[in-house]
Amino acid sequence: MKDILKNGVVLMLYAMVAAAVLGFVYVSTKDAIKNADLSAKFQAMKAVLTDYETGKLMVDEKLIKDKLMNSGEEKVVERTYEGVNGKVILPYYEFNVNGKKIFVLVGAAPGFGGDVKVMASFVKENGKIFLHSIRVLDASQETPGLGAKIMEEGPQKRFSGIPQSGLEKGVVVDKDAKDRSVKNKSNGVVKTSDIMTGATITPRAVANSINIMYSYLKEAVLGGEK
Amino acid sequence: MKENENMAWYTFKKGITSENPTYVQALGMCPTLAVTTAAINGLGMGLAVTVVLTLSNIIVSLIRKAVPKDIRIPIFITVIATFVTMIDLLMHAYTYDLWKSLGIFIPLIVVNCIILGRAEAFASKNPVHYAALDGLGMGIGFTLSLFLLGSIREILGNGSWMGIHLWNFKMFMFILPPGAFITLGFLAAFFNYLKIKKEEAAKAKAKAAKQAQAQKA
Amino acid sequence: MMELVLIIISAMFVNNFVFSRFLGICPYLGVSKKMDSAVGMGMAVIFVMTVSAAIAWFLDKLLINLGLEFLRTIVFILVIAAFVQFIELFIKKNNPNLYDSLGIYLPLITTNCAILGLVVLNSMLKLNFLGAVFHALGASTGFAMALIIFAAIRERLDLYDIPKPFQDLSIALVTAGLLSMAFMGFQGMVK
Repeated sequence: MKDILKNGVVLMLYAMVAAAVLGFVYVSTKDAIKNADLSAKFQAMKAVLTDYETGKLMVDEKLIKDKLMNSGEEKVVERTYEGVNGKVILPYYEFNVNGKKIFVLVGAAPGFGGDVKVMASFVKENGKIFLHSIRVLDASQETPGLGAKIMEEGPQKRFSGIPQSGLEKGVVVDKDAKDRSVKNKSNGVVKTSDIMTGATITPRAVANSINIMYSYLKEAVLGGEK
Repeated sequence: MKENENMAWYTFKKGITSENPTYVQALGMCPTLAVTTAAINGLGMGLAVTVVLTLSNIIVSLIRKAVPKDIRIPIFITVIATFVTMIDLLMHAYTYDLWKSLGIFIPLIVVNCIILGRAEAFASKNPVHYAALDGLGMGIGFTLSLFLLGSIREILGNGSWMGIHLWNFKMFMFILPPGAFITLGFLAAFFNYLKIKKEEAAKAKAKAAKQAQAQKA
Repeated sequence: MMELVLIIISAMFVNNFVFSRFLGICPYLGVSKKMDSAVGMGMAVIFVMTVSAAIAWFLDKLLINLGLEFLRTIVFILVIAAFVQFIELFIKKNNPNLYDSLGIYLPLITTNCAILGLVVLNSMLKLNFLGAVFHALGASTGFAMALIIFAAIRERLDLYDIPKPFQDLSIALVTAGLLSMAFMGFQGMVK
């Protein structure tokens, strides 16, 4: 009995020292970690706000930074689109440039091993919305070499510039297209089968998360205005 | 003095060659197989393990006399987990991309059997400088193994090395899970073959020497 | 309900811990030489993993509420170690027969990365309580299954004439690779 007590006390002492050391490291790296997370998000945002045709930034860099800095805590909203359970991760960001409205949203849908997290920019111009471009933020649960290839630029570019007609029909990857003869973005079909050989589930998750973000944008953000 | 130096050199060297954690002792297999889809990931994981292993070996060796025998394993694990969490925080802060690609395998360094194995088998019985050398040697041996495996898998499976594009010939299988097992299996066989050859050569030499002696007599 | 069944099937076959997530490889290679020990280890893992997942779920919530997420790894591993030690003592006292067959595998489980891996995964995937427990059940059953299949193959391998450099570790890894290839056939089964 005495032994157990002694061992318990010794173990507790060690645990306390460990916790103290860790607390110290945590406090001293806290800001750097926050910066690293923010800068990752900033890079992604810069990417989706870069015009995919001209390669120029559509929004002032400083403005992006300001919005990011003052965006507050993240909040997750669960959302379903045609039987797929996904998420929209708030806050969303809104930019007004030359009469255009640009919305940046983050959404997620289940992929192969877990959620695939996608950031997307939607542009509203002359009363019409289109998907500008996307950036996959997290696909770490996907199979390396297969689904995880979605992290590369090539596959992500395939999702750039989907017009409203395509978004209304719902974005699908070419393998899931009901009408195999239609392979264009105005019908919501995105070709990925050639660039992501052997992986359908991950790009499908990206398509789903786009649909979820679009439906959220339509209902919750633009709900009132016409 | 000479002997001491030899001993130190041997303590350091054995982790890289004769007691290589991956190919000889088959320890720490999970990260070995999982993160080696690219050479750079193997290198990053290896270095993270080397740091944790060396530091935990030093601390375990320093406190070895203040550890009651019955609860030594929980204490060693506490020490290791502390360092792993520190590395996790530091990598998150300063090497974000690498941190992201190693994912769940950073917290899992805690249960990497190499680290607890060296703490228990070596550091808890030896003075600090040997413990540090042992940790460093084992860590470097582990890093080299991971780097080799990662390079082979990246070159064959993705046609690139360290992110540099080499050619368009790709065999997906090597990046996928089965490729990890099979490549490691063949590498283990190769190192085993070298070992067997060396032993045979040594045996032949000893035999020749014996015969020569017998002839002399 | 359907969701829970899917979690189990996906953890057992599609994302099998050994073949696709690479967790628990050490015991997988180490304890698979004999059928009896594979069965014993498999059962021990199923039990420990499921209960640990339940305990860890509550602890995770507690740590998040306290803002101490960075202590996650250290708390989880200590709880698993303490829990394993506790069961060992308990079984030893109350059921010596069970202890004889399972006892030696229990200490090995502490350093089985599958257990800590599952707990960390649960926390990363933000599963709810039932989801976490069912995930553990599926994953551990999948692990036990992989272990038992592998042990059966290895018992046969002993009878064959394998080139010397390939014996033991090497052929075991290549066999595991082939099994893993077979398990890739389950991909896409769960959407």
